[in-house]
Amino acid sequence: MRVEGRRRRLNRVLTAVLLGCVLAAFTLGALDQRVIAEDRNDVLPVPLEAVLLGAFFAVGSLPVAWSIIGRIMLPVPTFFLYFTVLIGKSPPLPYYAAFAVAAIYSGALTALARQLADRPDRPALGSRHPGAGHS
Amino acid sequence: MSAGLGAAVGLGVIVVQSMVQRIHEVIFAIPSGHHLSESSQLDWWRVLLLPIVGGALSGGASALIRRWRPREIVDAIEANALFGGRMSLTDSANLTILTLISSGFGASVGLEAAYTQVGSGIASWLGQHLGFRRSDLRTLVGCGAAAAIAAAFNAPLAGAFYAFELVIGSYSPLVLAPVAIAALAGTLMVRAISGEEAIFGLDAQVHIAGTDYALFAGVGVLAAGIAIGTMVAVTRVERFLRRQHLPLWLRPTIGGVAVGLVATIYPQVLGSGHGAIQQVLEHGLPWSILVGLIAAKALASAISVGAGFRGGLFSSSLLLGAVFGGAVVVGLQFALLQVGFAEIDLDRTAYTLVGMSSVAAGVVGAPLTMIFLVLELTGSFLATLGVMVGVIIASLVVRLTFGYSFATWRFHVRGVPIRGAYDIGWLADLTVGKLMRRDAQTISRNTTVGDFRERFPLGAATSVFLVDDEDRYAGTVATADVHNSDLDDKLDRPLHEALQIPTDQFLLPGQNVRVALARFLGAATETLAVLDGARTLRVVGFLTEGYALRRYNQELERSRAEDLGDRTLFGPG
Repeated sequence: MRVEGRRRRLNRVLTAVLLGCVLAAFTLGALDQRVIAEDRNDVLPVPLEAVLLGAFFAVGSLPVAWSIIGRIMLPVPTFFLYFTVLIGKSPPLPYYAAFAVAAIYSGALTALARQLADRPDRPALGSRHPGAGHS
Repeated sequence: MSAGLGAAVGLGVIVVQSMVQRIHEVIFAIPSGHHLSESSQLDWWRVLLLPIVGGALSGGASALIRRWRPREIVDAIEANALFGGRMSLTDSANLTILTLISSGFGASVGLEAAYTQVGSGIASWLGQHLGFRRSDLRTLVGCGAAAAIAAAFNAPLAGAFYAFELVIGSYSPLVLAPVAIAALAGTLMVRAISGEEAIFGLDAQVHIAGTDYALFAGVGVLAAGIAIGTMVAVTRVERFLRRQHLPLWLRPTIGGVAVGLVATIYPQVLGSGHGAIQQVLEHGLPWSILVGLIAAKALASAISVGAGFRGGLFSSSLLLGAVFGGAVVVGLQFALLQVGFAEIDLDRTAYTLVGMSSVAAGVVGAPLTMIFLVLELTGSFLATLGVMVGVIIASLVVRLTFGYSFATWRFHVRGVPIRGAYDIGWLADLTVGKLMRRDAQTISRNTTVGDFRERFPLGAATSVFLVDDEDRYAGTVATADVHNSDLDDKLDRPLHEALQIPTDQFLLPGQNVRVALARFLGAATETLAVLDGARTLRVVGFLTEGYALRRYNQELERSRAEDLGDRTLFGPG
């Protein structure tokens, strides 16, 4: 039972790290699609921004109490980075659409990280559906 | 006949292809003849909204079809493995319509599943109506699938080997002729209507040095990781959506939202990806975008299939692999430059082809198909040799570490006990109910040893089955055991007291012969009673281990002989 629990936990950690890498790769390619010079005015080097975003997501998805730190760090940079991508790519999205899509990206990634960090592994006693009870 | 079937399937493939292309041209407003995944100037609102509309349509249509025909749609592999090649044409048409909607509205799925479903569905329908035998029907289903893939890629060898590796499960000289003829006919039909051009045009000559082969092996190992990751991701997405308790019809709509969001940044993920593959092969892309596209395509495909859009991963895995191969070669070239080997020039096309075929071989589970596909696309034996290294390594790693292709992985997740198209359906047909003898001798468990000996003298029956007062099974006794001299002083005692008789060793009519043989082994007995049910416990017959073994052996021989195309392989009869 204990071995099984440890295996499941390791699986969740690996999933978080892997998805963090996927997000970093996705973001790296997205950031390099910006063709409008003003939208490439980054605070940090582009690869570092992508890696940091992936790392925030990975930390935010870990099944530990302090994963909230990752989730706190995630939404604002996600919004701004993707906003610059969406208004800087060719063809660019209109301002309002880019704003909305970037907000959805930001919200969806944070919600996914929350879900991964706290997903129910087994149903609570007496729950109607398997997985209905949150731990 | 296989030529006619191949031509008809080729025509069907063209019709499906044209319909999807037309849908793309109308709703995504792409120029005529352009692929959706190569169009970078799409309207943002179409990219965002159309996959959602497609999800709603696909989910709604799926729900309606499920209400009308609630069983799972049987594909060519499952049909050949379990049902002797029997498929439903209606189900095949339904699946094709759903795939048309999915791919037409931009879901990141390939059309190959629809093509093979159409091809093998038509073949199965034809074979059933003409009264084909089991083995011939299986071959005909393989012919349909071969023609479909051959027509889809303008590649007859790839089509034929797709059938051998995935749909028939083995190669034999007997099935070579019909399958090859069907594949050729499908290809010729496409060439007659659409022209001679290969599906991916490659102008560049491929140059491969000796050291490249070692690197191709590395590409194969990494490609296996991508293939496994993508297959597992589909199941994870599916499980994630199931946990949210969303109705089935709503899941593709949610998937459409996600695909639309991904495609807003990476429009190459829309549709099957043939246009994007051509783009990567022909021009290449910057390294960062290739890396991003690997993540985007894997996500979009996993979300599309996991959310319930209909379609397969054949084309998706080709694009994923091409992008991966492209990223590897750019990365390696950069690394070589950094360490002072600027004069070494790696061949971008070769690495792209190796990546493409290796990931696809891992996902589709058909290494020879991928090797022949590259041979037919490039006409270059040198490129094919390189691809062979990557494909073999990728297939081996996937097989050793994961053990499934995408199709067999889906069966595994669904709980269908098949690992390929090998015919194991006969095993399910060879049930205890069909093998048992019905003249079982029963007697009350309260009968005394003396009475038993009078009624069943030695040689009258090998085994007799005991029943209780309510006529329920109460154990099996061997006649010889009751006549044993050890019981001579217990003649007036009831059987169940004089002998130790286990009551939990029996068979049920629906169990197959393998289960029965395992029971014989566990019970260490020659004869087992067959009961009508585990609760009702009425004796309906009996089965002996010797007979079960003999029939099992006969069926194995028959099946093997049919696979090899020689019905007299093990002698006459």
